[in-house]
Amino acid sequence: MGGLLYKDFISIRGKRLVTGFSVLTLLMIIIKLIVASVGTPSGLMVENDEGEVFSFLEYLISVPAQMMPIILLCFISNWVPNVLKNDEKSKIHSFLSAMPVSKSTYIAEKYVFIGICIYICFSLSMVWNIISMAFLPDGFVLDLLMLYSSIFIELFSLAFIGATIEFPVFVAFGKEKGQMIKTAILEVIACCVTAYLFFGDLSVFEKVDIGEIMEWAQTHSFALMFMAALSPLITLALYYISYCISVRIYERKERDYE
Amino acid sequence: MSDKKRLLIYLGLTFSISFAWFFIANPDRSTWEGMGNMRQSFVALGMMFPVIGNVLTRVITREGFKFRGEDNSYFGISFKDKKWFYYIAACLIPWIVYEAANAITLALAPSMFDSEYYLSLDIEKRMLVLFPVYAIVTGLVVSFAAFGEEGGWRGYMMPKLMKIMNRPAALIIGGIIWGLWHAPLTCIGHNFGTDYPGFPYVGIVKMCVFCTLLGIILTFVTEMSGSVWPAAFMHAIFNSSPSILQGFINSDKAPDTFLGRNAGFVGMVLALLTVDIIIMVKWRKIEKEGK
Repeated sequence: MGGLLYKDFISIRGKRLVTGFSVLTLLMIIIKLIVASVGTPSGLMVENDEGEVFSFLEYLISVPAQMMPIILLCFISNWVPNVLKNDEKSKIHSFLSAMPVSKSTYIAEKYVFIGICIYICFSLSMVWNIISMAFLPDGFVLDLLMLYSSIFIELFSLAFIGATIEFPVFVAFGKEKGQMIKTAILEVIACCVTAYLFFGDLSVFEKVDIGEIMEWAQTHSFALMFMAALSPLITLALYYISYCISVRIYERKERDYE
Repeated sequence: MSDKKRLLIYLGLTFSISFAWFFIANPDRSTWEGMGNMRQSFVALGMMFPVIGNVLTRVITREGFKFRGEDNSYFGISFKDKKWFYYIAACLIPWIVYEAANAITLALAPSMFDSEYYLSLDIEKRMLVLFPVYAIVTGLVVSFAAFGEEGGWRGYMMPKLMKIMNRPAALIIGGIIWGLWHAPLTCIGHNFGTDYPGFPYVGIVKMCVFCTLLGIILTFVTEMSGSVWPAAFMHAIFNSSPSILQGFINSDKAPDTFLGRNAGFVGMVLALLTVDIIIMVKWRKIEKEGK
């Protein structure tokens, strides 16, 4: 499996990504330490709508940390079809059929690879968040980063759930058809949301009270902690079920082909 | 190149980069308590340097990154030959050790028992029951920092030490090196604070003792599983301190005696020592069966 993992690492241009992310992390640390010891030049202090003055440089350093969860979801969504497509393109299937690699091992490798990618991206976003939050005074930028860090575990689970759904679809229909199905589903959802915004009852949103939600969260802290503890386990269980389904689909597909 | 030379290069690199980081990341020389959570996490990024030291040493000495066989990097994962057992053990041992350590602490200093201490931590009683599971799950999810340390100490230093000398000596020296690596943090009050007699030297010695005892368990799971990941998971879960009993231990109520002040540390040492003895006996048995 190690060889297959390395092949996929190369196919998503892993070496370039690792170098890029490492350089970016190093730059963030250097800028952060310079800003912390010298301070932000007065020309780079800006004011937001609420009249709060904050360092634009600090905000700039925090951008990668803020973007990372979105980048993570986009990258994973892109890598799932790509690791399967690259094998179709480079005739890896024919090569693997001559190797002692079973069909379930082949599919398991794809799941393990994406699992490793999610873990690494998640860890990296945590590191960037830690770098961005260091030396920050209380205020707008810190609140923003705290908000991101509070939903990290949920985003981690979301990335796994995305892969859980996408894998069987792409294994069953291939990259092009799978991509079309995915786009169609996303477009239907987007249309439904747009239609609701135009014709639906928007007064529901006006009734939403953040304070009430916070109060609810405090009174139901046990249930929330229970869910937070269970969500990664449930997500991994779903990921495993998805793997079993993908293996079945792949075996049936190969049998039909033979 | 000899293993001794490789190990010296690794230790030189890891210690110099890490100590430089601990110095640079804390420019105003704040204490651990005084710097706040955000900067504590920033300084703690130094945990990544042992694994970076491993990678740099392997590149410099052209040792490579083998996943199998002799001198392998221990970065791979395998569940064959019942190795999955060590992953499960790695998740449960910290919980068992913490509960045992807290029970011993309470036996040594019963006045520390406070039936409502958890309320001061803003925790409900029923949440306390769930806390160890929560700590285990979050420890697993956020295990990258622990991997940073274990990838270096267990992935490079310990295999090299065990080649140079016999196992007991390697475990003791490895533990002392690991404990000394924490010295810059101990000097700013990490783990033991700053308000104790003999600060910071006593803290450094205590850290070396703790690291030696914990290192035995971590090295055992690494050697048995052939991977640093169980050790990384165990280390991460240890850092999350999974325990129900700690919600009932109020250190402010500790008696003002030598044993009272050190009850927590003594409790942890005795709990770890018990697990270490069991492990050493088991290790010897496995080795005899292997031969």
